[in-house]
Amino acid sequence: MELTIQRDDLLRGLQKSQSVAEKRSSMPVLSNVLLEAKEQQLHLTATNLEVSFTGSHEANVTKEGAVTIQARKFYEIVKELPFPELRITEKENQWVNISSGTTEYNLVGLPADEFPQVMKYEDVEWVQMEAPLLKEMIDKTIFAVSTEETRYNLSGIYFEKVETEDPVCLKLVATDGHRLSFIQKPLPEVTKFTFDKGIIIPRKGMLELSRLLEESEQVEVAFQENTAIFRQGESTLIMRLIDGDFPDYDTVIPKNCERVLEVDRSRFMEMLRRMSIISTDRYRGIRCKIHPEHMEIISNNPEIGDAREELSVTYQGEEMTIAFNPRYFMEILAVMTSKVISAKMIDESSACIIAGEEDEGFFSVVMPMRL
Amino acid sequence: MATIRVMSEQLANKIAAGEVVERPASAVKELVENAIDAEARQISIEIHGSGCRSIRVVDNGVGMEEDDAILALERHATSKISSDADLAAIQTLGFRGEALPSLAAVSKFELTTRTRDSTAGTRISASAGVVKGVNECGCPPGTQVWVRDLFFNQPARRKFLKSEKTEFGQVVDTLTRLALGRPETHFSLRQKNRQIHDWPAAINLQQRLAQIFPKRSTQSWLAVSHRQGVLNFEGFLSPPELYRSDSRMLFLYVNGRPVWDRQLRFALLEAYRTLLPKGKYPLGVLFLELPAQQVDVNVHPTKAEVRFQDPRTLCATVTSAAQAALATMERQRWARPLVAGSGLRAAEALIQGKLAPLSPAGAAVSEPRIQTYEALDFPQRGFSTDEESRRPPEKLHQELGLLFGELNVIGQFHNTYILCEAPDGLILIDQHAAHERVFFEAFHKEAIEGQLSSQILMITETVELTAEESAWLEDSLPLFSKLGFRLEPFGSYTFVVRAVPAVVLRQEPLELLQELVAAGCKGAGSLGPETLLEKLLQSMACQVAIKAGQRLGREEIAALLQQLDGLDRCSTCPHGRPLWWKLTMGEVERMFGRA
Repeated sequence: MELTIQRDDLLRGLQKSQSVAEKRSSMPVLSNVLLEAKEQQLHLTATNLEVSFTGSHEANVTKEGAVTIQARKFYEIVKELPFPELRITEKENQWVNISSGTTEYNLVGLPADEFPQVMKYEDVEWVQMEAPLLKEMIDKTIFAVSTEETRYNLSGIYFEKVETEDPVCLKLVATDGHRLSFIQKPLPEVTKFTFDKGIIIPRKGMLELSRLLEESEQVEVAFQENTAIFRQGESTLIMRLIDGDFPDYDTVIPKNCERVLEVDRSRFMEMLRRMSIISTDRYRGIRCKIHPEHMEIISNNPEIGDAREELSVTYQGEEMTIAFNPRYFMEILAVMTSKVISAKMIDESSACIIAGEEDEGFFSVVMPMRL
Repeated sequence: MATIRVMSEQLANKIAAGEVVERPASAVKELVENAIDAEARQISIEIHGSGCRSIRVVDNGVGMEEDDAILALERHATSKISSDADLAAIQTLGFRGEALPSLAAVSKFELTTRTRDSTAGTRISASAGVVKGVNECGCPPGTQVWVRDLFFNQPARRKFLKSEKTEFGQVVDTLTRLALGRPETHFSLRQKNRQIHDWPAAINLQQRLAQIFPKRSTQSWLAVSHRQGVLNFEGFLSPPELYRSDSRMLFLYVNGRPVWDRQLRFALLEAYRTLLPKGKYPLGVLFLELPAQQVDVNVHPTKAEVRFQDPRTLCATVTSAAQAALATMERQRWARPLVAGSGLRAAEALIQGKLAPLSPAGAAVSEPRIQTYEALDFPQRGFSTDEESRRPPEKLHQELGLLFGELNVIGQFHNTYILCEAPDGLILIDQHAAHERVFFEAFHKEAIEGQLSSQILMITETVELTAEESAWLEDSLPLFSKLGFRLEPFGSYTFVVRAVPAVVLRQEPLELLQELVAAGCKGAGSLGPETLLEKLLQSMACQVAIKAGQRLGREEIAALLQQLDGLDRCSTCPHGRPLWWKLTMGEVERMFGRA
């Protein structure tokens, strides 16, 4: 393999590959990035077996070939190279020479055939989507994804086609069993999605995608068997779908909430932040005493002390005290944009629905705590 | 025809001997107690074999006149009490007047005695309870009792004796118990011609402890004392890292008398709850002083058991004093001296080795046993009258900043131990054990005050159990509600889980529930609700704590150490495994041959 390539092109791809390449893995080759030189292009691939990233960049290939080298080091080197162009040459025994001007590196590589086969896709039907829309949908659901390893079917975002409604919609749902977040947006293109009803895409893949979508307007999406593929310009993310059944979330969304609380989102957020200073442990709850015109939040931690704050609210319903994990609320409020949010409740031991007018199609459900 | 007859005195003595003299160790006990009561300052015991062949106890006590000596072999003859009032206010170890006649009834017996004032001594020999001769003889002041062929006329009893090793072990235990009670008396024990133990007169209990237990291990013992009202006690208890598989080394004395009292023992163990591994016992010595009227020693012929007028208050006081001593120790955090040696087992083995009477390779033979006890670097505390040397540990702690959180963290070893640098050594902290203790203490507090905070589930789950488990769980639902679970029976051994402890964020709550049920159900029958709750909290703390092998960041380490500093107990994990250990500078330097 021998080629020359523009430093900045390569750097863009390498940067995106960093978070996919494993830092510590039982398979050393997973910390490497695969370089494939073919037909005047250099393809970079990083994978953690679940999610793979591929970046394709124009290059002047004088000799085709493939090799893998350490992703982290390669990125650090390219970043610091002094000239806009560099040359990559594969030597004997997978030694890779990188040179730019008078700078030269020789890196130990691993053979390309040790690199795991990235899921191949051919003849898939690409569907165009607005990148900011997809990003919003992911960001408003991903925080509720379960990080418990054992909860396999909850460890991703559920994509569901809603073809029965008009207009047809795409729904994204995530839950960890304590809270749930839901977003539904009209999207005519969903009819072209080649899955039946719904699929679960792993959290890690969604995180990478959200990052990739930051700078773009459009993204191409395709589904094939157990794979989801997202393509944006020179970058492609391929992720393996989670094989499992997403729970029937509809039954847990309360339908007849008679108590409705309305509160200024940013003031509520600031208040929660203040109150949770006391509850250092991630699992500690706070108590909300809700009166017709104000809400009182009490936080206490036997090891530290307690805190109390009042906030004026609009509330319809009986006075009540309900306890929550403040972290769950803060994560929801952080992704919302509405000035005023509403919390609908039934009683102190049933689910509470949070929504806001400016957050169209979105709501989140939080289960209370008993303290 | 009259079939009921009064027994001959010999027969009665033989029967009494059955109660008083069970085995060679009980003979030693009776004889040494007599010597102590005779104000002896030096008592030497010589044993052949297990003691059946020959036991000779020589003291330098007050001795007896000839008439007294003869009378001493009569049953219920004693110099120790003379009236009812005396019985109620007993100060001596013996008082029943049974020991000598009982011993004489079951052995070939020889008593040689002389008072300091008389010119000649008396020698009385007896066999199977029959006096064979009374002679005048020359002897030093004091008393010597020589018991030969113990149980020679009771083959049945002889048959039930255990091996020579066991019987001799019992003799050593008996003597240890008595010697601890009388630090001011010189005890020596010989087997055949071998010196087994030699404990010269000590100035105080610490010194005696150091003689009996290896010097290295007693340095870290905790002083316990209580002086208030009529109840006074003092003593020493082992730190949590030193323990045994039995409670033989827990010595209790009531008014100077060694006793075996279940309640008192339990009161001490209570203070060690969750500090020691299951089935392990601390070592210790505790002397209780209370008015003779409040304790009945005349319950058992060997006087091992006593009865207290108000055992509840007594036990509660003992428990809280022991807890206070442990708390004082804990306040010193990492700066408290640990039982030295290369680990717990080593310390334990050391003690057992020291007390194993028949190991010929022991130091007892190879080294001269004469030591200069003045040279012992025993920390002066507890019994010390020197107020200056007893610095309150709180003050110490403040002055030096003896907190885990202030140690210089070196890093993590094997993703399992946190290494810290202390001025006097390297401190290793077991991250799992530490975090487990942190959680356990927090849970315990919450559970006692109400319940652990609980997260209601969005989607209820069901858990299936065995018939036995589900029956048990149904009875224990209030307990599980304290833990933060909300469960409802759902028929056929199934339960609906509506809420789980909020702390279980990263683990599978159902797995935890199943584990708790399995663990709780197993030994539940024998446990009180409080102990059971504690056990469940232990399991839960273990489940949610950081695991061994988990990489920790600097901040996580700092937070853990800080949490540790907030606890009252931080020596062991709630299962009793040590939580931290110190490799002292001295130990490290010895490794490198620098010392």
